[in-house]
Amino acid sequence: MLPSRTRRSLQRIKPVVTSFLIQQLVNALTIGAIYALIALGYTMVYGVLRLINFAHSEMFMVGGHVAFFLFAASASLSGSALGVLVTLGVFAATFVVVGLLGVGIEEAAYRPLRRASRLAPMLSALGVAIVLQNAVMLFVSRRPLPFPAFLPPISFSVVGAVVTLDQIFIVVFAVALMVTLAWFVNGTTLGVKIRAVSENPRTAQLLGIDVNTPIRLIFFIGPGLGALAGILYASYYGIVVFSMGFVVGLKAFIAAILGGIGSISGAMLGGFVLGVLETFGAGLLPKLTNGVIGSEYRDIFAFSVLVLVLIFRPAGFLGEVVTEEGMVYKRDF
Amino acid sequence: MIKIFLAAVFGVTALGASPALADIKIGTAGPLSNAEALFGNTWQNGMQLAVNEANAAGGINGQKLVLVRQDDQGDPKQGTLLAQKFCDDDGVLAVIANFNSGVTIPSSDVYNRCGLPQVTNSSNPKVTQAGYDNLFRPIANDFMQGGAPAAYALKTLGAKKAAIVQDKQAFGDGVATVFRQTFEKGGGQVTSYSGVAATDVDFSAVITRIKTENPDVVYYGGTMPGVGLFLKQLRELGVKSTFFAADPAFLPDLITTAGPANAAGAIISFQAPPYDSSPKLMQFKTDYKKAFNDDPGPYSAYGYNEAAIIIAAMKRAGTSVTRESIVKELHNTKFDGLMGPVEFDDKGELKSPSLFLYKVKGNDFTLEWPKS
Repeated sequence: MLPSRTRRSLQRIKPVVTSFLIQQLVNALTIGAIYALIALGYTMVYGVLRLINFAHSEMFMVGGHVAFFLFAASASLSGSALGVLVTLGVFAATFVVVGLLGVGIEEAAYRPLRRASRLAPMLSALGVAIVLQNAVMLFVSRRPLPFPAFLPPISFSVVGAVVTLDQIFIVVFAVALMVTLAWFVNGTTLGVKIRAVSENPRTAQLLGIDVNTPIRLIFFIGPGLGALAGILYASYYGIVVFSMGFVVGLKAFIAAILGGIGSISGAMLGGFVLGVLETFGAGLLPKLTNGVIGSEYRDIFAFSVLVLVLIFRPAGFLGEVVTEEGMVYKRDF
Repeated sequence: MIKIFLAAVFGVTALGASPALADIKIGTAGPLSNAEALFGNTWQNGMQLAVNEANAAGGINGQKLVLVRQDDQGDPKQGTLLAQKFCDDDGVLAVIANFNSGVTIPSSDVYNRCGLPQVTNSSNPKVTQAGYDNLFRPIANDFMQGGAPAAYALKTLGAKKAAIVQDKQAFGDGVATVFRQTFEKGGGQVTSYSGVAATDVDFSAVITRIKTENPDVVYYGGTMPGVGLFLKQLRELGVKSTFFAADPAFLPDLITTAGPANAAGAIISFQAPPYDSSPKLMQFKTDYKKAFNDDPGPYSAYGYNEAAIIIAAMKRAGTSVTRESIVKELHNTKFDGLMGPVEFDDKGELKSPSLFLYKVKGNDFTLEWPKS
């Protein structure tokens, strides 16, 4: 039993604390949803090819830029009754454009190396990332470009916390995409092929599955989702810039590892967990340590989590634990 | 007109019997391609204007002046590389470098080693700490930049509590520290002093914490696009405290990034008075527009001033214009600049610096303090 004075002062600060926690949770879910969407691309490619696709972060960046130009081109149409349709059109077009770019990259940079050592396609992916980033820097803009908001600036007050329409849209839209993807992978014939190739490509081939179809599909869906995350991110923060992919991509990669790389539901979970850890780390630790650990340590939380997970649970939350026996069947291909 | 004149001069030297004199080069390095590209480019345009005018008036001892414009990308590595390049070029007799404090501090070591006169536009107090004889700063340093807004918040706004955020760079941390000291000395309470990464785009965690502190003012020490994004998220999360930021935010980009509604009322400190505040500046604006077909940028007048200070020192050096004689003459500067008199103390600091506070209104910055 606490002394009554302490209890009373606790009651007094309680609403402030609640609104603080809810606000941080909303912040965390928003950024977590974006991480999760990007993490899906890493995890799907890894699941099938055992390749860390380092170019994936640039799909996110290119997505933001493609949408920037599509929005600019259709600026005269928005605002009218067509506004919603235009926005959806931009989303769909960006998904397709970046998806095709992903397929093209796989065709040009990864497929020729599929039988080479595991390091070769990874280096190729890094190369593609550098090329894309510099191409956008040189041919589009070195400066951050202001990204239009496609939603009206409406906000709601929930127990003292401010929730914007943007944030609600990001979380709902991202979750809807993830649910659709889960249905696609688990409930359709194409999904079965993807899972078969991910389980064991050679056996899948022996059973009459053309491995290239699911791989192409994965390189279409992954970058497409990354591009949509790019649009959400760009419109939430209001800018696109050629360098935006690097840090966010790394964080999403951590999210994928956290959830268990190769596992689709793991990537979703990992994204949200990372968002929560990071936001609460940056928001709470300075308070708890009285400013000794400041909010500038935000990125350190993300990377410490990566190190801890790699040490104590290398397979992540939902990743399958690979036994030595299993390794025989799941050899690189 | 300038072009015709130059053509005439060139024609005479080409036809004349005497061999053509080598050009005198003034080097400059600033951010031309990053988020601060607008600052860097228009700053160097200002210098170009001063050089053009000097050439039109006959150059230095009949020698033509050439401005060598380089891009340091706001990057210390690039800044020191360029410094070495300027040092190694015997034709370069003075430099105007750099724009960012984080770049000037390392580059000034290089310039000092080769005795090249350096006029800088960087405001961090550490820039002049090494006490280099060849380094001059004709602008207000961060003691003014961070101090004036704090004094304004305390006296004019009657603020009691301030939350401070800075981006951990030489400049951002520098101004934020001065703001903090001035605010606390004046009896105010600093509720938190938080750091963010200069490349951060998500400030919601910090802002949510600041919201619980309920400060009267929020000060952000840092550069674009961070300031704009911070301000946008600050307002979106419902923090209504008066927002202060330092001169890198004195850009139209601030208003486009944050949105006019979110940016309204933000107070930005800046060293230069508005271009319509004196006949000299109005004349400068007209000349600039004629030369570059655009309005001058935030630092154009300073670029012009800095080049003019160097040119005046070259003229005073008489017949022997060398790196040494220019350094010597820069110490004797008594110059009636665009923004007021320029004189340096022994550390190379401006003797009577000035600072202005601007408020965002609609899509513009209007002078808030001092009220004339």
